[in-house]
Amino acid sequence: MGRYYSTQGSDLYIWVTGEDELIDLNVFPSGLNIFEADSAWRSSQRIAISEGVGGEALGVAEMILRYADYGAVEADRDSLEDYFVKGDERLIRVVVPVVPLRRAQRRPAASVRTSSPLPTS
Amino acid sequence: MGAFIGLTASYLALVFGCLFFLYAVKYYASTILALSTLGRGRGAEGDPRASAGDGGRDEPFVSIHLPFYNEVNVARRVIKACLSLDYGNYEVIVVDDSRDETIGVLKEAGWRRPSPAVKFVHRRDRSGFKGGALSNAVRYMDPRAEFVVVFDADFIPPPDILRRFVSHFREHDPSYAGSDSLPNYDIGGELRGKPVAAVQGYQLHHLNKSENWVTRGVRAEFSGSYMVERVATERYGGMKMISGSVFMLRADALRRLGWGMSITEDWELTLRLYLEGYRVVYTPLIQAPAEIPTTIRALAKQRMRWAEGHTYAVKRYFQKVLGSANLTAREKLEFLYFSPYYFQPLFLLVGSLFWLVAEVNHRYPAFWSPTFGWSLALSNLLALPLMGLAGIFLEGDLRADYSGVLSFVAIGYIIAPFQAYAAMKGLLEPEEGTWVRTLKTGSITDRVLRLKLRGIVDWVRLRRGLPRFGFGAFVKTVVHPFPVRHVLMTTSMVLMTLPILTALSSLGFGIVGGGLIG
Repeated sequence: MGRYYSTQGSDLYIWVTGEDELIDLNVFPSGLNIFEADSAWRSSQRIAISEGVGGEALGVAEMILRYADYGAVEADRDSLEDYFVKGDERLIRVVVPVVPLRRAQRRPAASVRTSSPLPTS
Repeated sequence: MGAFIGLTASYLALVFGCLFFLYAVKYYASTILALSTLGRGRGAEGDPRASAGDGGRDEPFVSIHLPFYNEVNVARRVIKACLSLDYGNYEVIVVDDSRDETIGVLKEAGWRRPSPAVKFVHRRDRSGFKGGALSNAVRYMDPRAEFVVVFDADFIPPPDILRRFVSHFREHDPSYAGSDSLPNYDIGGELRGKPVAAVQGYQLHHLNKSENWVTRGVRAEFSGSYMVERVATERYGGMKMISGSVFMLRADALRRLGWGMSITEDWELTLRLYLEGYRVVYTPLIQAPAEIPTTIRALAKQRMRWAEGHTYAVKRYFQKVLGSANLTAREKLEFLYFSPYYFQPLFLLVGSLFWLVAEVNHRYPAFWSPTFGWSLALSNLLALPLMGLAGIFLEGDLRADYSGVLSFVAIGYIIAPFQAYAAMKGLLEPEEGTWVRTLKTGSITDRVLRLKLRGIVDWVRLRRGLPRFGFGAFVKTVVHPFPVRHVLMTTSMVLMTLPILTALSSLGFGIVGGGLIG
């Protein structure tokens, strides 16, 4: 199980594994234009992807995600795209886990280690 | 002056009247063929083959694609229907170009479920229109997909529709069904080795058929097209069109060819599939109800798009299709028939008007007799209404819906100039115009999931080769005691031959002179 997000340039990937449920996309204010009519985005039961997110909006989105217990992960973009297409979480390849310092002091952000594929439960 | 006007009008009436008569002959022949193909058995609901199913075993993976553009009135309805299908191995991909509240519907948490998987793909622009959106769906579909099914947003697919599609595909495609799968119309084996690229089902435009005179008319038009014309085309092996919604495509062909960016992407793909050596099959047994445009304005806009895109694609592919070795003679002939398809109401309208002028002035060419003029006009005027009536009859709704045929005729005359203008644009302009969407209201006046088609059992028997179509089958059908079918078939036969007989008589062949015609 796990809740993760990754930024690839200006693209935002949010995904879950195992029994976790994906965050409600309505929690992102429409002003951020992440999952709105004027942005290009995709979503499934397990992963949501928004392309071309503005820098400021990306920062706010990361705050929202961290607040919802999503951990920042540096993952391979192609494997995340594969996850959207095929829905198989074993395909996700994590490159480097990113553990925010303040969050790490409180408790580990996510049960992510430098491994491939991502542990699912 | 009056003589000159009358004579000119009569010549023009003759040219346009004869052009439309070529279509009228096809409509009458189709009516006779469809009535002899369907309708001899007792009414049955649905396809008996599909009811057995295979209990979820051996189900190929199907990817359902739903193209959306501002569909807030119907989005929830079609997604729900697609998630409730009686099939175990599929996904649903919504490709959305909306700028309205449809986005909120897509973000609802209720769509998140493990099976079937639902994917939403939203674009910030509409590049390529519906074809562009559907290309996105192909890009993101599960690689396991063997088949793709497309529904427009205003359709409500019934629960067993995927099983029916797969069953039909297996029956018609040699690669799925074995060597005995060729249809019995394949006289001479022309279709041998031609794989099936797509199965087109019946777009049952019934959901709001009782809303007003426009919806009643369009419902009659679709009955004629889907219950008569396409059934006949399937019987004689002509080219069949993919029609935008309610069809299943082989995923491998779609991956290879991809969607085009035409405003009639379905027709363009049809031509490219035939050029690649594939064929399309049609069945009235697979049906999905949909709604009908409710105003003349909406209908005219929709038909203008169809006319422009269709004619543009004909212009673009004309030489390729006629020169291709991958199409049979009958498919090419059907393509020729399709080519000026959207000009035909204009032929009828202009021909009828000039005929009236000629009649008022009482001036005709030497070979023209008033009997010939009247019979040509009558034959042309009644071809489409009779086909619509036959379609409604075959659907078993004649008593309730016959009046829609009058609306159908009126609509034909009203939108004819618009269609012809758009078709001319498609023919002459270097680029296609833009996509004008048809507003869907979500209105339902008639709840119908599937028609009780007359004689479905016979259609299935015919597909399996018993009895074969031929003179014997035709005679058996004509002498069948059921009076409505008998009347419709006899009327079609009389109206189809009347102008020919009277023309021969006018030319002095004396076949019916002084006899039948007087």
